[in-house]
Amino acid sequence: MPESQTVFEEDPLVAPQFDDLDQQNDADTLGMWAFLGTEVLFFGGMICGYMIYRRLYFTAWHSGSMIVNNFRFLGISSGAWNTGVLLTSSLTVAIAVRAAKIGQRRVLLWMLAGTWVLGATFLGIKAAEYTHEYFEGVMPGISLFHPDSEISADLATAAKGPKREPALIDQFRLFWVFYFFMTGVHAFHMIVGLGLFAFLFIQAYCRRFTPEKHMQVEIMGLYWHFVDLVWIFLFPLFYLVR
Amino acid sequence: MMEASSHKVEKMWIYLVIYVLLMALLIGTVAASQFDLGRGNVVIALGIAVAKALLVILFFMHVRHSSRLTWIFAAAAFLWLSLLLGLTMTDYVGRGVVPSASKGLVASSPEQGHIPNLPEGP
Repeated sequence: MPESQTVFEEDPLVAPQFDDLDQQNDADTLGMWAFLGTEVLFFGGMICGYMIYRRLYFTAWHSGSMIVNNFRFLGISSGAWNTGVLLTSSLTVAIAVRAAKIGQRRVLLWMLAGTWVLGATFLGIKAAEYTHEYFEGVMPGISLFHPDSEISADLATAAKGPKREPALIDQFRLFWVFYFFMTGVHAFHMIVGLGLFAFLFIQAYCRRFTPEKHMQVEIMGLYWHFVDLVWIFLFPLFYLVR
Repeated sequence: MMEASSHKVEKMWIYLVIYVLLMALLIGTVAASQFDLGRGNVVIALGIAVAKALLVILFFMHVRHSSRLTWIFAAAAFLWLSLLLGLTMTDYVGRGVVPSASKGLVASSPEQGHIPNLPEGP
């Protein structure tokens, strides 16, 4: 069909199945939201399990949360610092999307780079936290209840103590499985995000984006904001609620 | 026909105001967690998280200017999430497997249940 080929070549911005650019852009946004919906339920399942066991094993959860929130920089919990870092990165993403829409290439490049640095900062703080928790002896399967750790001794005392809570160690272990799994899956999303934003930066550097063709930035921006949203809920659940 | 979201360019000051609000909420939630409000701590922490989430979704993720269909998709995600959390918790609490909210949260006071001595932070 030579006619349809001509149409396609005339307007490489719009794929042949769409009427116009607006329809294509709306479809892009909608598709991303469908994916984000599955992500909401993916994290929702873990949050649901966390809430049930928090009710069941409140003492263990309370102790775990105290340890998580005890790692501080300048007197402020590392989780609060990380929330600030991620909220700031959401601002830089929002400005980057806006810059892509109106064709401000320099602003776009700076904001993409800024987002990348903030994302890396988040992971750096998280890595410091994990290291701290490793040496505290609470990492399941690797350092959990190392015979030398103080927590191990405390829990052993508790199990033999007047209250007789022999299951407390297992409950405490479960808290740390939830903690490392949920923050770990979130950190994995951050790593994917860093890859995507490095890709966007290269694309922007090579002048691939124009005001008409900016949807890649917008869609990746939605992803980044979503990862921020997940952290907005993980932060109170693990650090603040006791 | 609604104007396509991809055309709408948000004013810069709106983003900055939202950012300041988000940071204020963050400071608020950390400050509130310093006090022992019993059950109030959970309500405040999660309430502020919902407020932050709404600001991010509506303004940073541009749902405010998105098509009605996008609204439905975004709302559906959270509707299903509320079914997941709501019905599961109803089941567990209703069968008495999990203590009800008041009982569970009162146990946060140190005299109920042993809390191991925790090492000090760095």
